[in-house]
This record gives sequence, C-alpha cells and structure tokens, in this order.
Amino acid sequence: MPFVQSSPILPVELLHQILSYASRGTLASVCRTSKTLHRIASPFLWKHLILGPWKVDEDGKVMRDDKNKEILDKNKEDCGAIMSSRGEGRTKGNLVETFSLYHHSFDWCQSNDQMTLRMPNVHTLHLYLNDKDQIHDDYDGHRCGLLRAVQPKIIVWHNACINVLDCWTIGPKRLYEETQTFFFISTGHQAEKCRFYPRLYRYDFTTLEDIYWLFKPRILDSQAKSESFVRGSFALQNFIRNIVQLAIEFHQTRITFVNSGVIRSFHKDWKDEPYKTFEQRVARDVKKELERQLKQSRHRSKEKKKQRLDSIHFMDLDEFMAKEERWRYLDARQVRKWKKVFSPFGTGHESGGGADVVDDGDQVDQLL
Amino acid sequence: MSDNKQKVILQTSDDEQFTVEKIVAERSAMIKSMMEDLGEQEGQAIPLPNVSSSVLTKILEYCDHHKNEPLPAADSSDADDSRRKTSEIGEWDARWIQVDQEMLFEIILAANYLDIKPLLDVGCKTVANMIKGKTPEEIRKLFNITNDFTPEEEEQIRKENEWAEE
Repeated sequence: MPFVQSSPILPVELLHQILSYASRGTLASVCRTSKTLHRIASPFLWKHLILGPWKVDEDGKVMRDDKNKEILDKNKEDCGAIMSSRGEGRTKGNLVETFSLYHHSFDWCQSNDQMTLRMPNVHTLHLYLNDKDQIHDDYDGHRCGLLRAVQPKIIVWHNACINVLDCWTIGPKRLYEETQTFFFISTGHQAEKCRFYPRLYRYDFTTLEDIYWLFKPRILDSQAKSESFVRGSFALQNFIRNIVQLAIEFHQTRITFVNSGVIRSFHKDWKDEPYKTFEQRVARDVKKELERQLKQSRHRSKEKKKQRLDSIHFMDLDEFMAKEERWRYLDARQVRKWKKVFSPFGTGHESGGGADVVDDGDQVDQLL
Repeated sequence: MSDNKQKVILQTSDDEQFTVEKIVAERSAMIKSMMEDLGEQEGQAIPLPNVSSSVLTKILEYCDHHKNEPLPAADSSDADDSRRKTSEIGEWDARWIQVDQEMLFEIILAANYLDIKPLLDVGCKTVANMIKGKTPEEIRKLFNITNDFTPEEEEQIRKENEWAEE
C-alpha cells in the first residue's frame, strides 16, 4: 500500500484505525490526496452523511456570528440534495448508513427524482427540526427527494414538538415502510405541546416495534424559569395527556419514556411528594389516566388492556444508556452534557432551585 | 519468589537482548501469551523478529511508565466506543511520542505486532492529529503521497464531499 513511500508502510487495517479518529473535514481532505486513499477513506466519511447548511469548525461545532446566529455556508447549501448523478459519485450513496438532516428547507434542497443521491443502506435517520417546519415534504407540494431515497429502520426526531409531529406528513409513505423504531427527543416544553394523531394521516406503521420518547433538559433563562414554575402543574397535565395519547394511538407498540432532566420544569410543585423520581410520579399518573381511558373503550379485551399497560416503561437516562445498542440513537457528547446538568432528586448537588439547565431545544451546537 | 521481580529476556531483530521485568513485558499481550505458552523456562529469550533494538528501547520506556495500570480486557477493541471517539492523548504519552515520523510509524507497527492496544491507540491518534485540518496538498507532502488524480477528478471529489468541509 503506497501510503508512505519513504517511511515504513502502514497496512490498511492500521490506516483504518487512524482514519477512525479523523474528523469529517480531515477525511474529506484525505479522500482528495490519491486514488488509493480515496478508496480507503471514503467509507469512513460517507458512513454518516450529515447535511446542514452551516459552517462548522474542526470539531464539528457550528460556528456563530456575534449575534449568536449560526453562520450559513453557501457551499453547503448548494449540497442540499447531494446532486451526484455523474460517474462514480452515484455509488457514494451506497456507503451511507446513518443520515442526519438538519432543518432541511426546499430553498436549498432543490432535489428531484433524477438527480438526488440514492441511499439504499441507511439504517438510521436523524431529523433535526426547529419550531418552524423546515423539513419540506409533499405536504406543501415540494417533494424532498432525499427522504424518498431512504427506508431507515430507526428514525430519530430531534426537538420533537407539535409542529414536528405533524411529522406524519413529512416524507412519503415509503419512508416509513421498514421503520422499527421511532425515537423522539423533546424538552419538557416541546413534549408538553406534542399531540399524536397518526390515525388522521395515511400511515399504518406496520413494522413499528418500539417507540422511545426521551425528555431532555433545556436552557431556561430567568424569564422562562419563572414561567415554567407558574405553569408547573398545568404543564404536567398536558404532558401526561400526550403520553397517554401516544400509548392509545400506538396500542401495539412497546413504548419507553426516558427522563433526562425535564423534571426541572415541574419539580417545584412536587416538594412534598412521596415519589422520589419523575419516572415514578409520571408513571403513576399515566397509568391512572390510561386505565381510565382503556376502561371507556369497549373494544378491547381484558388481556389486551393488561398488555398495553405492561408494555409501557419509564426509566432514567442511566438505565436507558446501560444497554449498549442505545448509543446508536444518541451522540455521546450530547448525553454527557445532559448528564452534567441533570442530577436526580435527592442528590442535592445543585444550588438554589437549580434550574439552570442545558440545551435549548431549538439550538444546534454540534453536527453529530 | 516474588512475581513482580521476575525477569524476561527479549531478543530483537538485530540480535540484541533486553532483560526486563515480567510486569513490564506483559504490557504486550503477544509476549504475555507467549510466556504463558512457554511456561517457566529460565534464561530462554523470546525472539521479536519484527522489532529493532532502537524501537524496543523506546517502547519499553512506555511499558515501564504504564506497568502498574490495569491491562485492557482481551477483547475490548470495539466495546468501549466512547474511548475510541476521543482523540485526546495523555500528557506523558504525548511528550513521549514526540519522535520523527519514521520512528512514529515504526512504533505503530511494533505496537500492532506486540499487541499493545493502548500504545497503538496513542500512535494512531498522533497520526490523526498530524493530518487534522490539513489540505490535501499538505497531507501529500507530509507523507510523500503521489497525486494520481487529474484536476477534473479531484474537483469532482471535492464537490461530492463539500458537505463535510470545515
């Protein structure tokens, strides 16, 4: 392998290990050095395709201007639909296993059925959304060719909130044909506003086995902090209603709720609660409400009702992450950040009501 | 006999012999398993035909410094994903591995042959850091790589990979 001509020659397996530590930008450079290295480095680069319109630094951190606004990168906008209809470029789509799409708007997608990159091997799709519906779909007449080109097993919705969970309108039916797992990640505020009415739309989700809904912490400025405490119990009711609704709509799917700090939005009301954790408290209320609603539905047998109640689980982030394969859904850096802020009840780390929480749902710090 | 004080003799490709503490030599999973296979044969040298004395001297420094740390699990290559993701190198290791490029590559090859996983990590991360943020031309120069693309081919690849640029 003529990687280096004067020094000892490194075998390909060691080049692989070196490249596994390289950032995307570095891999992109390595791909251009020679034909051999292009062949060796491309799978590392294309394994995870990330489309976002912003400038990033060497560590993948999104760059911001002095008003803290993300800086757009014209060249990246031009990549919108990854127009690779020519020559070898086409085969790059076969290498993509994970595909992350950030705020994908029609303005910079411009995809069409002829030109758009096909990605038959995508296993996991990450969709990052903001409050404005910025992933275009056939809902507004502009079909996103990229989302027509993938059939992932896992779909992760980041910043899932009400606008997003009109989500069933996003992408063509084909997108969901092989999906086994949905993963929603919301802040408490976003979760409170989620409504699930998939039956109103056109999908059956016949292959769906698992839904995870993770509640992540959120940065609260002083204004938002007081607001959330005033609304505490009301927010909690909405929250529980939405969880129950999800459980009723997807009555054949295992559902797991994972708490990673949303507790902050509510916990002032709970000072004297005998329940030690958010999970216990919410689990109790959800169970009560779900039982009530199931009682009203005449169509289901006793066993079915029991099955439904038994296939809903509540856990905290540590318990969730204890299973190896779950790292697939989440970025390790993100998880570490959540953990830093969130310490469960009773540990008393944080001072003064401790709501100075992380990660405003709408901001993007890092492209995975 | 105290286990820690036991010695092992290693013989390099240029026929030099090194007498080292067993606990130091055991940093190498390859030597460790060889010793287990050979049993207690006093005075028997273990041949290392792929390692020169200058490289072994350097590597033994590393092994000696880390001799009291727990050995990595036998099959931990992919298990600990978080370890692999970070490209950080310990302070002592970073200073220790400040060598010329030829030596660096020799160290990596020897670490691979001797099966010293943490050392292989340090070596590979060091190379990754050397190319970090570099342009294709700078990388070619660094490793003496010949550009066999036509300008059109290179431009095509640049455009394909534009999404990944920093």
